Amino acid sequence: MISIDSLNKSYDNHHALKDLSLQIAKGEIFGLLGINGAGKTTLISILNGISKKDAGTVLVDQFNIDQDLKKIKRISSLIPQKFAFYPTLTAYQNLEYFAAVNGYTGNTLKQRIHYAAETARLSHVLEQKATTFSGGLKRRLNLAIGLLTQPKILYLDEPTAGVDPQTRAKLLDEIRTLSTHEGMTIVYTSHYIEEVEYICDHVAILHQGNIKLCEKKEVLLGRAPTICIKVDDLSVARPMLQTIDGLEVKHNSLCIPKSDHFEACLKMVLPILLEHQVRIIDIQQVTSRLEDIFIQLSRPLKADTRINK
Amino acid sequence: MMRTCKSRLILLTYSLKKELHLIFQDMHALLVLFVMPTVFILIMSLAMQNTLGTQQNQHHIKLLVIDQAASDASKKIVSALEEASFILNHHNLEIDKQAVVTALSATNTQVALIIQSNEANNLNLSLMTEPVVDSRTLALISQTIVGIQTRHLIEQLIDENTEALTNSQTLQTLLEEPLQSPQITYLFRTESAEPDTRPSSVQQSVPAWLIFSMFFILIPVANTFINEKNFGTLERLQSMELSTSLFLIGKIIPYFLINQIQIILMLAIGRFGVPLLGGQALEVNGPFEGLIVMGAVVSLAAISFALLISAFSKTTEMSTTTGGMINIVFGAIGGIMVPKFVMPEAMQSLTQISPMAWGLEGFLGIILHGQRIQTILPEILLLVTFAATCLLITILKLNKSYG
Repeated sequence: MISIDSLNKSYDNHHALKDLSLQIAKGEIFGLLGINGAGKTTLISILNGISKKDAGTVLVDQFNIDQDLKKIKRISSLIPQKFAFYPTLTAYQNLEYFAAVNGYTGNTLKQRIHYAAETARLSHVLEQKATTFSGGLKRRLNLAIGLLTQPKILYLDEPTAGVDPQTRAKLLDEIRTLSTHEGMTIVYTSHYIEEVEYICDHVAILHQGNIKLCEKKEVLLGRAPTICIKVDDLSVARPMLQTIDGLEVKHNSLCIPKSDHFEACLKMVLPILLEHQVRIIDIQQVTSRLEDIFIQLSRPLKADTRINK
Repeated sequence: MMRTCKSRLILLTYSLKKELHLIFQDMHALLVLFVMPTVFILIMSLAMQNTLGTQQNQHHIKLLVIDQAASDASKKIVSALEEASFILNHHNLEIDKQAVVTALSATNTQVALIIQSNEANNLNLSLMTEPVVDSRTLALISQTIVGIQTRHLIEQLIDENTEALTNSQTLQTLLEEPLQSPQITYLFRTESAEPDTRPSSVQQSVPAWLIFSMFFILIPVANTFINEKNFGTLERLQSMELSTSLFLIGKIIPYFLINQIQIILMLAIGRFGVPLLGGQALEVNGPFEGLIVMGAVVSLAAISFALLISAFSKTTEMSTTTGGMINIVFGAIGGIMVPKFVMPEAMQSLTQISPMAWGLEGFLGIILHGQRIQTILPEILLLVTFAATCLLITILKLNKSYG
C-alpha cells in the first residue's frame, strides 16, 4: 500500500530522514515507534503532503507522491496528535466544515457526517460545543473528522494522548475495528509502547531518521528471549560483570539476550561468579517485550545524543 | 473527490459560517470592532466641534497683534479691536513664518494680525493663521477689521467736513484702499486647509475612527488563524485537498463582510447618533458608490495586513502586540488621531507612508469634497497594491511553512 525508498529530508543543518526505506502492506495496522526527534512526524508530514521530501521515492496505493499528491490526499487522512478542530463550534459544525473542505455537498455531505459520527461514536453529542467535551470525546471528534472521507489509509499520530485508560482501551478497539471491518490501512504512532504492542500487526522502530528495525509483531516479540540468572549477592563481582558486552546487570540478577553472542557471554560470566563465590538461585527464560526491544534500540541513540551535545 | 465550482462555493459558505461563529463568540474582538469606534466617533465628534468647523464666540477669540506700522491709524485699529472684546497679545517681531509660528505657540494664540504701512503711508493688514481656525472665525475677524476701518474713515470724513463728502469720485478713492479685507495666510498650508474644504468634526471623526477600527480586524483574524496553526488545524487542512489561496479566500470573505457591517454602523452613528448628543450630523457630499468602493479597498488592505501579521506570528499575543502597535503608528502618522491639516509640514509628508492615510484621504474626498471615484483613484490603487503585496507575502510564507 505504501512503498518508501531512500527517503531523505533535512531541515537547515538537521538531517531528519536518512535514506529511509519502508513497506506498509494493505489493511495492516503499522506501528511507528521512536523517541522524540527520531523522524516520525517528518515522515508522516511527507506522506500527507504537508512537507516536501528532498530525495527518494514514495508510492501510496501505486500513486507517486511527486505526480499524484492530490490523488493520494483523496485516499488518505491524517489524525494529528493535537485537537485539530474548532473548540468553540459544535461537533456537527466542525464535521460540516471539514466535509465541505473535502469537497462534499448536499446529501453526500450529510451522509459523510453521519458515517463519521456513527463510526467514532459521537452521534449523541453532535450538537454540543467541542470545548465542553472530555478528553476522550475530543479524541473521538478528532478521529471522526479524519473518517469523513472514508479513507483507505489513516495516519494516527498519538491518538490516545491524554485520555484515561478505560477510554483508551475503547478507542484502541475502535481503531482495530476500522482495520478489520473497513479494511483501512492504519499507520499508528504512539509513545505508549503497550498500545503499539496491543494494536499493531507490524512495528517499525525509527532511530535517527532511519528504520532501525521493522518486523511483524509476532516475529519481533518471539525473536530474542532473555536468560535471567538470579543470584544471592553481586556486590563484589558487579564491577567485573559490568565490563561484559551484551550483559545487563540488575540488582540481584544478570540478563543475557539469547542472541548469537549468548554462549560467549555466558562463558565470561560463569567464571566470575565462581571466582567470587556468587550463588545462583534461579535461571529463567524471559520472553521479550516490545518495550525492552525499544529501550535496547534507543539506548545507543541517547548516548550518541549526549556525546553530540 | 474533484473540487467543483459548486463545492468551492459550498466551502466558502461553510467558511463564512465557521468564521462568523468564531468571531461572534469573541467578545474582545467585537468590543474592538464595534464599540471602540462608536465611542471614539461620539467622543471625538463632540470634543472637536469647537475646534473644527464651528464658529468661535467673538469674546473668546485671541489675536496676536504685530503692529509694525505703529502709526495713529494702526493704534486706532488695535484699540478698536480691544473694544470689540478680542483678546490681544502684542508682539514685535520680523514677519517670518517660523517666527510667527513660535510666537503663536508662546502666546497660546492661533491667529496673528500683522499691521504694516506701505510707501504711501497706507496700512497693509494681513492675518497669519493656523489651519485649525475655521473660516467663519476668520471671516468674523476680517469683518470686524473692515468695520473698524470703515467707522474710522467715516469719522475722519465727518470731522474734516471736507468737500469729499459731496464729491463722489473723491469719496470712492478714499474708501477703496482702506476697506480691503486683510489678506489671510495659512501656516502649514495644505490643500485641505482651505477654509471651505476643511472637514467638520464629525466628517473627520467618522472616516478616521472607522478606518482605524477596520484595521483592528487583526484581532479576530489573528485569534482564529494562530489557533488554527497552533492546534494543528492548519496542518490538517493542508493535508486535505485545499489550496492556500482557497483557504485565504475563505478567510477574507467573512472578515470583509464584518468590515462592511462596521462601515454601515459607523456612518449611521455619524449621521444619526452624533446629532442626538448635540453634535453635527454627518454630511456626505460625494456619490454613495464611492463610499462602497473605498470601504471595499480599505477592508481588503486591513484583512491582508492582518493575515500577513498572523502568518508571521507564533502566538496571538505576538500578533496583537506587533500588529496593534503598527496599527497605532499607522493611525498616529496617518491623520487618524490628529487631523492631517493641523500637522506641521514635515509630519504631513510623513502621512503618505500610512495606508490609513490613503484610506482617510479617499473617504474625505467623497464625504467632504464630493469627489467621484476617478478622482480618488490614486488612493484606491495604493490600497489595492498594499493588499496584494501583503497577500502575496502571506501565500509565500504559508507555502514555505506547509510545503
